[in-house]
Amino acid sequence: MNQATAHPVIERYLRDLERAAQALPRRERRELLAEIRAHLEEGLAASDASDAAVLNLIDGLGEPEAIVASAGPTTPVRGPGVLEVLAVLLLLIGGIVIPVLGWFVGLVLLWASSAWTLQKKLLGTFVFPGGIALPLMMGLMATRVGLPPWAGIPLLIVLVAAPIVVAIVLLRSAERPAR
Amino acid sequence: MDNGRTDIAQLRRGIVEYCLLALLVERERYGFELVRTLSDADLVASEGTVYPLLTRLAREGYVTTTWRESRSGPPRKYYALTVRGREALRDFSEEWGRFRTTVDELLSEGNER
Repeated sequence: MNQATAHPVIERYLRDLERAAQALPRRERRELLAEIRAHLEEGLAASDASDAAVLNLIDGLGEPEAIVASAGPTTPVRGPGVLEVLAVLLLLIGGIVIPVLGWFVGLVLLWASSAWTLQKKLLGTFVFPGGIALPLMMGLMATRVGLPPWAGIPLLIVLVAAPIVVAIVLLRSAERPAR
Repeated sequence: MDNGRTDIAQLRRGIVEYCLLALLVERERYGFELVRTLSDADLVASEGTVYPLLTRLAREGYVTTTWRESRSGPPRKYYALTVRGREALRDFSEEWGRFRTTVDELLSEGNER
């Protein structure tokens, strides 16, 4: 955060605004927050940056709820749909149900959906290709080569946990554009 | 009309959008500048409510936006009128002229009675 907006009153205001703006689609929320932040920085730069100036600036902006309300009636952003849930499931365990192909179908669904950002799609693709099938196979192989349990078991847990965590992240962050 | 306050708020909001477009006719301006101009003219009660309007104008293609570095402070988001925005403003200006005359007449008749 910029030094100018590091004032506790401003920080609290921005947090409140962020909470109120949850109802807005991701993109609009980001833009609104960036604009309000810029407004505060600009206003502070033009003032003596005293506590009174900060309070006046905040008063001038108005209640976070009022700001978000002026975005007009917002259709609540929808969470994951059937396709999104299916995509995540297939990415995670599709590789076990139908080796390779199951995971691959999940991948196609992941990239076809508009519910995720590019970042999230990349995350879903690379952690891990094959879902938990791959770490399980690697784990089996590791026991065959005789990796000592004190090294093998924690490694296996991490390898299995990572795709599960990613699956949860994907489900929670899925945000379908309002109709 | 039991919620007259929301009615007026909506009316105001609709008109403020065109005021924003009007401010951009001569040149592009940045968010803070637009907002301060409107609040100095007493057109908006809370400055923050203008930003979602700007976002909507951008989304609907009436203005384009660019972030630019500023020499004196933080980066600024500049708004510029598009052809579409210019046309919408022209239509509104004509409509507003007729609307204002009619409403003024009706209101003054109402007051005289």
